[in-house]
Amino acid sequence: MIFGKDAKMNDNILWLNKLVPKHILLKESEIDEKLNPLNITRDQLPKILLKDPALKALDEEAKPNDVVEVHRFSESAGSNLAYRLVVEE
Amino acid sequence: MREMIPKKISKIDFALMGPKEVRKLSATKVITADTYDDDGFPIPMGLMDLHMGVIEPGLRCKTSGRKMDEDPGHFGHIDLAMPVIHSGYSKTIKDILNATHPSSGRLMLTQDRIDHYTKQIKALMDSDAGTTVSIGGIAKRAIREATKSKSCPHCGEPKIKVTLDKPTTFREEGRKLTPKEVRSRLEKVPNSDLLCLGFNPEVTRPEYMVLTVLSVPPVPMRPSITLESGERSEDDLTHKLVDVLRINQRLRENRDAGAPQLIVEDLWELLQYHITTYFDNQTAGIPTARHRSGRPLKTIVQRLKGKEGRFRSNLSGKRVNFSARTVITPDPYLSINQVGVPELAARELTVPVRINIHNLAFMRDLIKENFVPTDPEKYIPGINYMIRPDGRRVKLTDENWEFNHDRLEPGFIVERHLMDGDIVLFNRQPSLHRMSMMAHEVRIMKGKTFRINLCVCPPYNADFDGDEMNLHVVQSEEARAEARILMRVQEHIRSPRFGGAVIGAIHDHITGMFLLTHGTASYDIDQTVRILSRVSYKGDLPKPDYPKAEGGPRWSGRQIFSVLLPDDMNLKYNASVYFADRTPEENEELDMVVEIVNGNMIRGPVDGNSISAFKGRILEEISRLQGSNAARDFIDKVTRLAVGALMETGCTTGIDDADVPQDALDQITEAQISAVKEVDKLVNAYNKGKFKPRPGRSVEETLEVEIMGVLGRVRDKSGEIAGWHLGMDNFAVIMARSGARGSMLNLSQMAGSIGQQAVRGERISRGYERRTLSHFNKGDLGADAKGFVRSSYKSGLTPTEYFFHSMGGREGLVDTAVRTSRSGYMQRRLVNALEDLRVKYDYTVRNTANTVVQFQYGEDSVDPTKSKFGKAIDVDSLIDEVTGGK
Repeated sequence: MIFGKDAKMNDNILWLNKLVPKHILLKESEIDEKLNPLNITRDQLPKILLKDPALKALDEEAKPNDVVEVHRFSESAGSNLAYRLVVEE
Repeated sequence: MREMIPKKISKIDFALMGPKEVRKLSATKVITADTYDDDGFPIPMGLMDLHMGVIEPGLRCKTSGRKMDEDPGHFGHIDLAMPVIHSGYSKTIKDILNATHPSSGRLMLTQDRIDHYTKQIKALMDSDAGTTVSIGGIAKRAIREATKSKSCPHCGEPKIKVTLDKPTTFREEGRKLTPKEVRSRLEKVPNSDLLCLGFNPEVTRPEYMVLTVLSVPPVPMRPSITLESGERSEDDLTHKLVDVLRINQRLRENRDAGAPQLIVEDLWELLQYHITTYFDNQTAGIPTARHRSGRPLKTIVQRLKGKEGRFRSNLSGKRVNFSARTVITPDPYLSINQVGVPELAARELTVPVRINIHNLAFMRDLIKENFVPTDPEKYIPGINYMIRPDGRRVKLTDENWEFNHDRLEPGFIVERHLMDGDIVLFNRQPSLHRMSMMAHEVRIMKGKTFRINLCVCPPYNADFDGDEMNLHVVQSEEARAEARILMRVQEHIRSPRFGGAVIGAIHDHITGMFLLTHGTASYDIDQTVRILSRVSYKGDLPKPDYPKAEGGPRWSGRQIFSVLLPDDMNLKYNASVYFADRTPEENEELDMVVEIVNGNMIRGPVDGNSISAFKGRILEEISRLQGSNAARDFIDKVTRLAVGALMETGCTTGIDDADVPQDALDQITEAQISAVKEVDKLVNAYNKGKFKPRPGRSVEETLEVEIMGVLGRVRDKSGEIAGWHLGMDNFAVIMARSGARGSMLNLSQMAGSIGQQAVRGERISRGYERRTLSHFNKGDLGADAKGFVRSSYKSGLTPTEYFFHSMGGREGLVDTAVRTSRSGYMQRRLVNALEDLRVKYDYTVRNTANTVVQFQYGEDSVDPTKSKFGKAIDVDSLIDEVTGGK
């Protein structure tokens, strides 16, 4: 089920909605690499529920304490990066 | 309080207090209902026992040994003869009685279910993080499930339902349960089932909800007052406790004497009543306890609850000193940064000043000048109090001033009256945004009102129809610095909401500047000097634009205005008076385009599009590029210049400004008649069924849209006709076109026709059956029957028109009333949710828990106050600058 040539991340239909930002599950090694320069520890991140549809639509399976990178469209800056910590509840 | 050692609180448990704890907390047992003996000394073991704290000077607390005002007091207790239900928990008691077995006390759930719920609650207790599910919520579910079961799963006995007669009577199949029975049932509930019921057995037990001991609050919490007659008047709480003690005593005596059951029960119920009203004197279902005078007693709940309660009145509603409030009036000669303060207020409001070698002589002069003034007319700040280095306050009086004048020395603090240049906070309610409270510099003035510059009216939303405003004098050096740097009016010229100016020229300032600079307006040397002197212009007069004019050289208004412009300013834009329906060339011809070259205005009028808030281009440019000092200076000078110009030219408007020639009125009538005919034609077509609906609309809707279109056009048309006859020689038109006040629509409604009235966005259609008013035929869909007003405000309305107009007007009023309350509460919730967020030095936005809310402030780290309408860089002007405007 691939809709249009942009449907790369997953053939899940969720990503085709332009209002759904791109989510990328970070590998454990990448997390420090991304967070250290920002001087932000993992417990200071905003949370995302494990049951969030965006996580379910990922290729990899997310587990609690993982970090996802969210690429959002930004009205003011064009694009914006955010990191969210996966939590169970 | 000084001897208290600050300790770090690691944890707080909220729980019911049991009898053991009440006794442990108690400093004394209270047994007698009497308060004081004949000598006015507190009776031991009475309600005013010295163990519970002191309220008289000279006595010492028998528990802590402290004096009055040092001692917060200590609790006492009353042993109740019979147990009594705590009315605040009667609902919880009922739930528990219904969820547990009467004789075994077991929760009526299978062990599996109990374990299930217990596990959930335990997990929640162990986790530190706050969640959306509460322990109470889980307990509630468990209780509901247990209540539903028909019989006890542990022993199989059928269940008997307990009902609650509010507030405190429990019945089982009609039979009353005494508090004693209730208590014994609650006692039976085993600890293992308690967690499920929402009780933590380690700290509390359900039987604590039935009182056996009553805690007596400390005396300082219920002080008695001595009236002028020497009579003592006790606090309401003490009165109530006296009642409790009396009945308690009688109940005990009767019970011990073996009185008849009936009498004991009556007294028991009376005790229950007194204790219930002691907690809450507005309990539903029982009469309120009253004072001898008939006034209802104010008991514990009444002390806390409601607008006059402890929370809203004392904790959220703090009151301050060093503040003043009075009516505001305008003064265009003040800077926007200033506020005029009446002398009367200035002599009450003080600033603490620490004396040092530099200000000693000055302060001495102030003291002397105040008691022996050299010029009684002149305002000289005085000193109300001086504080000696040992902390003693001394009031300066006619008798002691000379002595205090001489002994004043470094280290003293004096409370000096307000004087010119002091910084104060100025505020108008409702304080909806940060510009509702700004810092101003004081100017002492005669009179009794606060004076402000008119340009700061919009941020405060103030006018002068009787508005009052508040003034606060900041007391510390740090606060003064903060106020000056962060809160001064000039720092709020640009709004963080949209990146533009919110403080700018208004009303008369715009009219004045327009009159000064429009067309070929010019001024002779006297006028020019007079106007320029208003802005204290220093320097040579510019070369006159009209050197050869009759009667000497004349200067154009634009030249005079250019004095205020920075030398490097280059701008070209359309003025507010620009004719949108004509070509740019025509407009340039008519002098409707503004051009500024190197700080010289070479054409165009100065109007709303140049100097007003929100729209003013020159103001925008100065405030963004030159900073707040320059912007403040510009606004101040524009104000003065405009007043100067108005003094030379004058400006007036009246009813004759809405005059249009008769043939114009005829044209308007004609246009209206043909429009009404057109409407009739549409209605006829509809009635004959010949009307075709537009896609997506019904026939009726299409008809309405068409009619609205026709009538809307005729309103525009009549406005246009009236507009041709309302030229720029008309002050009302000048005000409307220059953007000072009013609009051309307002004018055409006065001169031409008011037009269609609407309710809920539709032509007026409510009223009687199938018609709006009995003046029309049923089913009439014509223009006049549905709220079209042909008349103008000046000619007056017909009765039916007037009625329709009132309908439309009423809707507007209702809408604003509803909107303000709705949006106000919505905004309040939003503010409460966001108020603790901070932009940290690394540009992340974080909350108080230090978790990230936004990884980069606004996602682009741009301060909107310093942006140009939200954009960090003004690309257009940058390109113009580089290319030289080509």
